[in-house]
Order: sequence, then C-alpha cells, then structure tokens
Amino acid sequence: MTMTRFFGSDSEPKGSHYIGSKVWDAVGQGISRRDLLKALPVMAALTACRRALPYRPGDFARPARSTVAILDAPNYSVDLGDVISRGLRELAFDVSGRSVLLKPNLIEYEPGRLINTNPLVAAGAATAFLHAGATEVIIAEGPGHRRDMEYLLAATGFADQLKDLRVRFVDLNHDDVRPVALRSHFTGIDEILLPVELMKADVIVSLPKLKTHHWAAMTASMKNFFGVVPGAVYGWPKNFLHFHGIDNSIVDLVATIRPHFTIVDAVTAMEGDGPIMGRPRQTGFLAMGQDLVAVDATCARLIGFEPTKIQYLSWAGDFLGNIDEKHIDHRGENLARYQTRFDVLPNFKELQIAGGA
Amino acid sequence: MFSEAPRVPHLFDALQESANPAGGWGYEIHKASRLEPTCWALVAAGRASPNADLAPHRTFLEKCVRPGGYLVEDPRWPINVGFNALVAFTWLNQRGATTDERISSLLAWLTATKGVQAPQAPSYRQDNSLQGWAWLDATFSWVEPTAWGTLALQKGLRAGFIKEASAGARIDEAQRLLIDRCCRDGGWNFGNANVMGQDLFPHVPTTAIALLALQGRPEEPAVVRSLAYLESHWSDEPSPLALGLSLICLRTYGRTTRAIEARLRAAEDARAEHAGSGSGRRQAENLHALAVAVTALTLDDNDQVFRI
Repeated sequence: MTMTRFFGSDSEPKGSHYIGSKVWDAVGQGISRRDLLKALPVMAALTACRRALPYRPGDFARPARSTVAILDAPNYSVDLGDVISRGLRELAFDVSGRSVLLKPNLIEYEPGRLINTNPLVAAGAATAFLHAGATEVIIAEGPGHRRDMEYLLAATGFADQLKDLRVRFVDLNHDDVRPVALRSHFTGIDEILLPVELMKADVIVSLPKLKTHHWAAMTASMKNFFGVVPGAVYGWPKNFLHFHGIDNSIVDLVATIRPHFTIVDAVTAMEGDGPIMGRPRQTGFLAMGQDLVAVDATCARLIGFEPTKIQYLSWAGDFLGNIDEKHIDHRGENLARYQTRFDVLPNFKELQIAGGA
Repeated sequence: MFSEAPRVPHLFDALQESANPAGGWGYEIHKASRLEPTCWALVAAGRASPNADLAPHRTFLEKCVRPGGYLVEDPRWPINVGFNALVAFTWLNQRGATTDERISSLLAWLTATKGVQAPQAPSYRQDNSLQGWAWLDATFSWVEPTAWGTLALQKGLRAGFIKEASAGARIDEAQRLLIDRCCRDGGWNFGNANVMGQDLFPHVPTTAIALLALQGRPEEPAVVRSLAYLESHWSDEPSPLALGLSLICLRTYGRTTRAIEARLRAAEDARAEHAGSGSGRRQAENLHALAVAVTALTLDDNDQVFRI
C-alpha cells in the first residue's frame, strides 16, 4: 500500500491514508510519540467513519462498460494527428462546437531526458480536435517543478509547435483562480482554488506521458492533474498536495474536475525512478478513452502493474471508472503486442503482476 | 547607468500600461492583481521612474493586509509565505510605501512562521532538521520562499525593524538550509539536491535567488561553486525571467554581466517584436518576467536594492 509521502521524507505514517498527513502534521508540531500512540485508536475510529464517506455515491455514475483504444505509434515521426483522429472516430468522441483544453505533462526539462509529453503528441491532438470541429483548442499546464514557463516551452519544443498551430498556451500556475468545492474528500479538503481557464473549457483532455512514479507507482491520465493546481497559490512543487496524500489528492482532483478524455503518450515511456530521473522505454502506442480510470488501468497492466494494487486506481475504481478488465472493451491493436514489464523501484515490485520476469 | 538605456523607458511604459486600473498587476494583462507581480512591478517602477505615481498599486498591497499582519489577495485563500516575504522585501526597499507599523507586523509574522519539520529520511541527502520557509504554512521548506524570507529578514534587521535576538537565528538556520540543499556541482533545484541517490540538476532562477540570500557568506563553498555555476550556465535558460534574475544576482555580486545584459535586451526586443501575434503575445503579457527584466536592466553597480 502506498502511503502519504512528501518531498523530504520517505517515512510512512501508519493508518488511514487520507488522515496520514494529519499524523505528520501532529509530529511536525511537536506532539510526542506517546501522545500520538494514545491518539491512534481515535484516529482509527475516525478513519473508519471517513472511509465510509469520502464521496457521495449518488454524485457519481461509474460507467457499466468503458472502451479503451490502443493505437500503434512506433515513434514520433508518424502522423500523430492522423493516429489520434482515428482514435477519436473509433471511440465516437464528439467535440464539434466545443472548446477543448489539452493538459500535457510538462513538468521539467533536462537535456537528453524524456520527461514530458512529446510536443508532437500535443500538436497531433490539437490538429485532430480542430479537424473534428472543436471551436478552440488550448494547451494548458502548470508545471510542478519549473515555474519559468517561457523557458520550459522553448526548451521542450512546445513553443515551436505552438507557433504553427491555431492554439494558445495557458500557464495554469499563474492564471486567475476561483474556489471549487471538491466532489470527493479523500484529502479531507472541502475546497480548492483552480485556474479559471481550466473551468471554462467545455472539454478537458488529459495528455500525459506514461511513466513510473517514485511516490505513486505510475503516472498517466489521473496523476497528470496535479499540474492544474496553481503554483502561484500553493507553491512549487505543489507540496500542499503531498501533505494531503498523493493518492488522496489524485482521486479528489479527478473526481472534481471530471476530465472528459485522455490520450496517453506511451510512444516512449519512462521506467525506473520516474517521473524525472527514470529511463526512457520504447512502448510504441497511444492509449485513448473517455474513462481515465480504465485507460490508466489498461496502461498499468501493459507495463506490468496490477492496477488494483495502485492505491489511487483502486479507490477510483470504486466510483469513478472501471479497472476490472471484464468491464473494459478494447479497440485498436491487440494488447498482447505491447505487453511488457517495466523496471520499477524496489518498493513497487509488490505492485507488479505476479509471474513476470 | 543602465537606466539611461533606450529600451528601458519603453519596457517601463509597457509595464505601466499593463497595470490594472484599480491598482496592482496580474501575472498577465487583464488578469487579477496578485502579490508577486505587483511587488516586482513596484520595484521595477521605483527604479525606472522614481517620480511615477505608484500610489494606486501600493494601495492594492494595503488592501491585501489582514489582521495577522500578513497579506493575501482574498481572505479565503491560503497564505503564500514566499510572496509575503517578497512584499516585506519590497516595502523595505520603498520606505514610505506603507507604514512602519505594517512592515514591523509583517516581519514579525514572517519571523514566527516556520512550516513543518520533516523526519530525517535516508533516501534524501539533506538535513531535515533545518527549517527555512515553506510556500504555505504547514508544509515543508523550499528554496525560493526560504531565500525571500532570508532576504526580507536581513533587510528588516539592517533597517532596525526586527531584533537580532528574534530574527538572527531564523536567518542563520535558513541560510544553513540553503547551503544544505545546494546541488553537488553548484546551484539549486527547487528544494532537494539529491533524491533516492540521484543528484538533481540546478535551475538558473532558483540559483540566482538563493545566491542573493547568501550574500553574507561569500567564502562558503556552496556559494563559490554556485556562483561559478551561474556564471557558466546562465545562458542555458535564456528566458527573460531567468536572464533577469541572473543579471540581478551577478551584478549584486559585482561580477561581469555585459553578456547577460545584452542577451536580456535581445530577448526583450524579440518579445516586443512578437507582441500581438501568436505565442509571442503570451510572452509579451508575462508581466512578472517583464518587471524582473526592467528591474535587472535598471540596476547599477552601486545599487542597494538586492544588496544586504
């Protein structure tokens, strides 16, 4: 089970995940270990109560079945706009007359490292959505590490792609914000400030890179939404979310934002010590779908993880989307063609599907 | 004197024109006024045009003052500690912009605000017992808010607003934290230098701000190697924000900055040329970076704005 962690600590609080951060707050404020141990039964009782009600089931309608498309994309030189257009048709996803916000994973830049969603995937998605009748396409991101967006756009090649497209870029770290009530409460937070441009879009599309993640095990469509939390309010690296539990925050953000679609850049993914310091791993596909939970669960299986063992996916599978293969229909390529087993950090080996190499 | 240069009045005009009518600056044109761009714009305007009427913009900051002495744009928002340190730094550089009482209250709040202390973690090469400043209270210390907190308290101490007995230990611990978090080959990432055995790489803007906070320790090996890093790597991040902060830092340290200044002027020329079209328009609207650039291009060799 993954636990609340934050940059700076690798210790793990015991007990409920979503009150774990409160335990650390208590420790940080000088409460003794003895006091803490005395409080644990109370916390456990509180945990039991809160576990029963982190969301109102009536607010969510998990689809009976979900469809995930896996499309061949052996490298970034292929016509990705065409590949994505085929996926949109295959999934019958209609954006005509609506504005589309694409949220890539654009967190950091280091020469030679493939950390971010490839700009060609973003350009291909923008082209495909415009071709499909979107009134406007916006690319928007609020990097969790770098706050110098002009540098990041130029260094990653996004600026060059943006020049040639009818799309504008929105820096979500520095946008105007407005309070939004959270629709689930795994973090225990009732409200969060989110960028206005995000909330204005008719269609929100996650556009992540598939990577291992040294706190969350895997980052794809869902974890990508850490990037919409405005740094100019909450700081960098969005430590506020770490303190409330990474898994908790992922689920609350996705439950609240309710993104409409995802396109996962798994042309070249990242394994090992992701999401920054890992190694590139050629995987050769794009994963697409309207159910982000189902897409991420499918990606998890393809790289050797058992999705029910990834905490945020397991929780999300209870009410946001499908993680059970029996409820997921596949389109496009045969999954077996891409099945592999990523190298993961030792603490995540227990999350891998049994029987692999 | 860079303030005589022909581009600066043009940039200053652009900054003035992009202010919100009710006072203050947003991060971009037509966005709501925020603490950080307003502070930088006030510093820039004070440098570029000392006779400009800045009263409406100073009033914006005044309106953000809350009963605890800190500032936040909306009382329902979380309090950003790093930007409060920047406000204190701005006020201390523009005496008369607010009352001494407000400066004292803000510095007292800043001195008392510490975030949380994380347990020691074997997979991080850092001393978690050290505390500087977090972005938000009840979170962990990071380089940028720690650097601004250190600068503000040092300025406040020199100006007599706070006492060595209360602020000295905070400044010392914060500086030790910055030294502890310095990357192996110099410079600073946003907070950690090594995670799970992997050395993280430094960022130019964070390095420039951290070095400003460590001016009093020029012999410190972390400062020496970080200055060397910044002098040799500033051009790796040629954005107006990174160039502006590099210029401010290296000029404050008395280093040669002619090449950075030329590069920043070229970047600002490109920004002006692209204004009004495509992605360039967004760049032209980045008021935070514009204000940093104006500040950088108006600093002279004997400037005391960033000097401690």
